[in-house]
Amino acid sequence: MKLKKMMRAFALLTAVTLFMTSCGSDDEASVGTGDCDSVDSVTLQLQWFAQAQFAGYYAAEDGGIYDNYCLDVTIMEGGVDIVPQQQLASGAADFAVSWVPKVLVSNEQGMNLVNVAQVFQRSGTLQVSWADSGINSPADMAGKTVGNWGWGNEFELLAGARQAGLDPATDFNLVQQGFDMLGLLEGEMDAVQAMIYNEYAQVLEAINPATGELYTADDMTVIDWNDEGTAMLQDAIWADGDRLASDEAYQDITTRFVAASLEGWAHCRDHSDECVEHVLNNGSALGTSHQTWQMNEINALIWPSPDGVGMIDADQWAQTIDVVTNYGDLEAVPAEDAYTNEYAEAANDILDSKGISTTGSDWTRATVILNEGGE
Amino acid sequence: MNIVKLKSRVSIIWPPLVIGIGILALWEGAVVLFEIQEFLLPKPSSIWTELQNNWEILRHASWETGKMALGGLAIGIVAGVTFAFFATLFRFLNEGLTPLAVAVNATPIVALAPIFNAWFGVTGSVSNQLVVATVVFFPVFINTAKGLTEVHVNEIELMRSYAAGDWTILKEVRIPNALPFFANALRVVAPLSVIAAIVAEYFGGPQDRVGYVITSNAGLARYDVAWAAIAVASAFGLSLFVGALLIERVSTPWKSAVQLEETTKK
Amino acid sequence: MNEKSAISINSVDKVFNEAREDEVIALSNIDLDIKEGEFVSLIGPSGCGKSTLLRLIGDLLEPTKGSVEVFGKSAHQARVDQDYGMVFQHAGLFDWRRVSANIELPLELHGWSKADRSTRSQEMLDLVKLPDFGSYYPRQLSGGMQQRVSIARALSFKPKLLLMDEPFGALDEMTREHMQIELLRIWEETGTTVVFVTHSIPESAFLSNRVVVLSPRPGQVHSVIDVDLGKRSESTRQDSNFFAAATEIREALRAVEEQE
Repeated sequence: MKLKKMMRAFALLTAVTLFMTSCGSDDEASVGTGDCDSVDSVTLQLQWFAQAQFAGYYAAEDGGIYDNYCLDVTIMEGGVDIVPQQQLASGAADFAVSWVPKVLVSNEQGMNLVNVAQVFQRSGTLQVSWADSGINSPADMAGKTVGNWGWGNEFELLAGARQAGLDPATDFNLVQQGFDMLGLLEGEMDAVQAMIYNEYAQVLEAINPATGELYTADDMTVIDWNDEGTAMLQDAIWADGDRLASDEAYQDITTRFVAASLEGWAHCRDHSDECVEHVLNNGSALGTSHQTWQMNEINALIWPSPDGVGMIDADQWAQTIDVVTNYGDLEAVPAEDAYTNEYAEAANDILDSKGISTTGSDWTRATVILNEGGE
Repeated sequence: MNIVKLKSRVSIIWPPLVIGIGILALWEGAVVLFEIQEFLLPKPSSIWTELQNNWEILRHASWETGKMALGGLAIGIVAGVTFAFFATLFRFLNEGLTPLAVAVNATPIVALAPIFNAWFGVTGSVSNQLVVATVVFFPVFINTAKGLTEVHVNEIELMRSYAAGDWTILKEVRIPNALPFFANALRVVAPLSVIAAIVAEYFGGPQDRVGYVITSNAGLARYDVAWAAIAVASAFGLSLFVGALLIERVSTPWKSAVQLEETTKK
Repeated sequence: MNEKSAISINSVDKVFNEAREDEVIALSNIDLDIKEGEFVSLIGPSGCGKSTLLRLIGDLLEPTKGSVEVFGKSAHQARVDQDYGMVFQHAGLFDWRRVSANIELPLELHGWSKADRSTRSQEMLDLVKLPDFGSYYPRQLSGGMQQRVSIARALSFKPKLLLMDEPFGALDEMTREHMQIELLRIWEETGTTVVFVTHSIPESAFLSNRVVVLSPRPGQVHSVIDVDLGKRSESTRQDSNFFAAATEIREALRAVEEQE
């Protein structure tokens, strides 16, 4: 009963605020202000389940940012058997979040997907081993049982191994691991794949039977592909290239969608606790401390964005192409129009005009305490 | 006799061959005509190209997956036959085992695979072979037990009139009687073992396996490679089926003699 | 036909599921003697225990009371000594054995050499007039041919007694009459004692020296009818003696049914 009353009060407050803002300015630069003649429905396909990895989109949705950009966004969670590229190419989604190398391989198969905002500036993929395993560099993986998730998540690992002179087919034993850390925790695998914002934390949330306490970072050694030079660009917003070339309405929607999403990400930079709440409210299966950790690490992958949020660094793009063609699975160098900074630039202008920092140069990493099981 | 045999064999082979080629031609034509994107439905010719391009990977993968399928097949057959013998010898065991076997059969492989992976690990071959064995066990057990017990009462009386003991009856009547039942089961489980092995591979394990090649390439929208892997898996399953047929022919020659007579009569 | 006793059944009772709720008295106080070389039919309505009686003779069942002697020894010993062969309505040929191997099965079980076995099975195939069918599988043969193989198998080890449980019951009428002539020929050639269970009045009249009419619930010997048709042939079926015998058997069966 109390809750209902509170919600009603909140709804009233929101309506009044919206009314006031819509009466505010009336000029050309009213994008993102909630001054809407009509609202466009848009669907976004994520590449995994609801978690802080996608906090920016959830924040934009639940915090009314998409509303301000006159968008009605439906966020579709991903899963083990959902291929975001396929969803986007077949028209089941208007936009998709996916990793750059995965999309490039799909484009090679005849898809025409364009990177309109490179949200993550760094790779979050690690290869994790126990400290006593002696695996400190890719070359140390020779003869070991090496876990990975497959599905294109293994490109950096394969590239790193080949760069170190190892042949993945013969020099070590490649094993598909589950989407958890059991392979490492149970000692079945010598090195396992982990995202710094997710699975790596799962180890830190597990009890070390030797001490009865949680594992610590000192118990593990980590290969970070950013340091090895085989890192590839990860989460980006992808749009349908054919529609982008011919459909003006879609161009307009893309501009607003990219700007609103990036504003959502900026919001999560400045209000990370609130964004953790958004994620938890959207049915995250993992607990609060885990999502808090994830939010912090995701922010670290985005911020600082020296060229502005969502902007693609030409060198990093080139490195991704280079790695994926030389060491990875791509046969030909993709066409240059597989990415554009046009929409990210427009978004940065809009955010600048709203007084929102687009580089996040003063963002600092927080210290997050993980609890057992991520609770 | 030989000409008749040959003729009947040719007449068995050509209809599926013609239909198969017809379907492939229609498929190829439809993809070209309706300009279907390769990432939705690849042409048979692209699949053939990818089959050749990835032949080494696919050959190795089907060998590895084949080992899982055949290993699990062997375990499942040995277990099924052994249990069938025990169930025949001791009626109370039969009453206890049959519902248990039905329960095992009702458990989907997709539920078993992750559990077996957790118990036995994903890096070795135990988990996947046990998944296959579980799938294989039930048809072998039920059919063999049926063959061992469903013997005409007169045949048992006849053997007893010859003063034959239980062991002789088992050897001379029950086991040969069970052979066609067992062969039937074998025909069902041989291709099933390949399916089970591949599904088990969806849940982890070494990546040089058919199941992984299918999922990972599908995950990257490389459906032509995925289809090529499916084609290799089908061919492998088909060859196991043909192997089971051959075993049936050799082990139950009286069946094929009668069948051949019936087909030539028509 | 000599006067030596082949089978002697003395005061035999057979009770199934004794002392239980579903207890059935199948046979009660049976006395019957069958001479060597005799052809005796057992006839009666269903439930009269004629098949049970045949199985008591063959030691496939044990009597609850009384004794069964076969060739002067216990039925069990006679079975162990392989003194009889058995033929059922279901030919009971093993699908997986060729015809000759089916005939050789009892010989095999008793350790005959391969050469002796194949000589004997060919003799038997000649006897049942299937000389060229040894290498066939049973399923490739007609029902009448299968039953002939079954008889050949039962006689392969030259038993002195043949126990037949409605052997022609599943055959069509023409085949059946033909098989009856064949059986009589074989009976005459081998001098085997035959106990023959049947449903058919003309069949029992045509084949037998004596017809034992059983009454049901509990199975008892109602009457024993002597039949003397001399040497039988197809024309015997039109013989007035044959009709007289059939009529006598029919009347006995009617009396049995009225008893109920």
